Amino acid sequence: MSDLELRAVSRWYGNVVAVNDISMTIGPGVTGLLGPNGAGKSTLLHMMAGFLPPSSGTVTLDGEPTWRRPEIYRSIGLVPEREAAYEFLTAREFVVASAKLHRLPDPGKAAARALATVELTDAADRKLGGYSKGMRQRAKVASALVHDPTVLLLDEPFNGMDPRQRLHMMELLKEMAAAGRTVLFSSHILEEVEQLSDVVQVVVSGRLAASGDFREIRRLMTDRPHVFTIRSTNDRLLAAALMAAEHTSGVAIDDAGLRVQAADFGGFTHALASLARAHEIGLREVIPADESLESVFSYLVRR
Amino acid sequence: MNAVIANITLRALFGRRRVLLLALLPLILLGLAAAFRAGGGDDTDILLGRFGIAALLPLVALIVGTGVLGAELDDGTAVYLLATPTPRHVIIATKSVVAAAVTILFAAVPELLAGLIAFPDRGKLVAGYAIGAAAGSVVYVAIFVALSVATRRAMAVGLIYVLVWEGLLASFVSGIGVLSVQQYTLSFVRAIASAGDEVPATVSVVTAIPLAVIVVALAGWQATDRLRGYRISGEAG
Repeated sequence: MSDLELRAVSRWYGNVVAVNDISMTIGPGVTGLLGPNGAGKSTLLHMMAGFLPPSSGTVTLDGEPTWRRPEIYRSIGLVPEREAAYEFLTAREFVVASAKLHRLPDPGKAAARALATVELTDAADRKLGGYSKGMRQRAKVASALVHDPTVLLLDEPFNGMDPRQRLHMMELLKEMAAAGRTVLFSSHILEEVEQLSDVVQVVVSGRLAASGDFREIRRLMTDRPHVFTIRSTNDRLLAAALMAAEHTSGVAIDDAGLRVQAADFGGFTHALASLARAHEIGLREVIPADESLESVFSYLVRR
Repeated sequence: MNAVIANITLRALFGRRRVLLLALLPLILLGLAAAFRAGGGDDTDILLGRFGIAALLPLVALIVGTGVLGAELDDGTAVYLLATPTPRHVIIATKSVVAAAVTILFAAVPELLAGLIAFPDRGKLVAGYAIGAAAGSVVYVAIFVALSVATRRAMAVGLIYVLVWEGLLASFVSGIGVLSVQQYTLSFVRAIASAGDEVPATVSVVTAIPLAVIVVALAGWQATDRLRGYRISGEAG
């Protein structure tokens, strides 16, 4: 059981602030580090992994700083985002090398176990250079967990994986968390985080925008005001009916149809259908206008 | 020394295209040696000193010394080595030993062969050049490994150092000789071969040995310290 703790951590490069005053504790279980590209996720992860010093604040693993301390890698496994690998090595050689560098008593056995965990046993004697992105990712994971670390840090681990590989990797991370390990992965895809993690840390523009239970954050996200574009058989009648309804905060009519500002997502989507039926209006198109992750994030930041 | 690191380093080094350049340089020296023999040339300093020690040795050491660790730091594969509890001085020592061995293979051994081809009756002098070049390899490599951890432009900085500092200043400004690896190397050659002015060295071997040891120790310490604080950068996100 290990805890990673960040206290008032900031990291800047010249005048650019990459991480701004973030405090968080990452404990056992799966934690998702969610944020758009460029939010500071990798910077945070590199600081946790001891590959970057914080400009201010402290990053500690079980109370000890991570920076300039190679000993932490006895407890940490890191899966970096960069795809580069020793292309001339087979996956088995790669993982055995990692096991030997960790001075494990039986490197061959440990490597075989790690390769089996990521389901690479059959392809283990092929060179990494000939691997697909997803397979290479799994080889990296095998190398990171060959020494059975208590903390596993993964930077965008699902990039380049097909849906089946993604599902398998998710299962794997869940199993590791169930065994009491601290698993942290970064992602810019909401659904990945939703499927996998109990706890979410949302980072936007270097700041911690939201933190805690995923369902709680999901509720915040869905309860926020939404804009819908709607086309119907009678736009004016629908506009009048919507304005009279509880969950609508504004309606505009233009050539494209209606632009409706909903006060809360859940209430509005439930009310819309029954409202249309009551007034005998046919709904031709209902499009949420601002569903992009960025708009969700910017809402969380403004909150 | 760490066998795993040494193995991966060698395989990475010989898997890169740079190795062709590495093979080309000694071939030029051997070609020149053959020409010397055919033409009856007897100036050992031009072939073994000015080409072998002043040009071939630092260039081979530069390619190898910046390649053993710098290339891995550049392409990001070094992370797999650094994300292990392996003490950083072990990594630097292993990389440096491998680099020195390869440099000896591609610079000192060709120096010996070239000497034997061109000057078959000057065995002692030729041996002096070869052993001197081997000792020089160790010092150059220590500097270039440290340089590759300190900057991403190690190749360019190293080339400027070889051409300007070692090539121009140290050869023509006598006071700088005490800070020149080329001059240390020549002083080793001179001492081993018990040669006189035939081997033009501006520092005495008594001065050169402790200075070379200090340079290697400082470079090793500096490289280890830098590697301990190695930062992953370049990725926004």
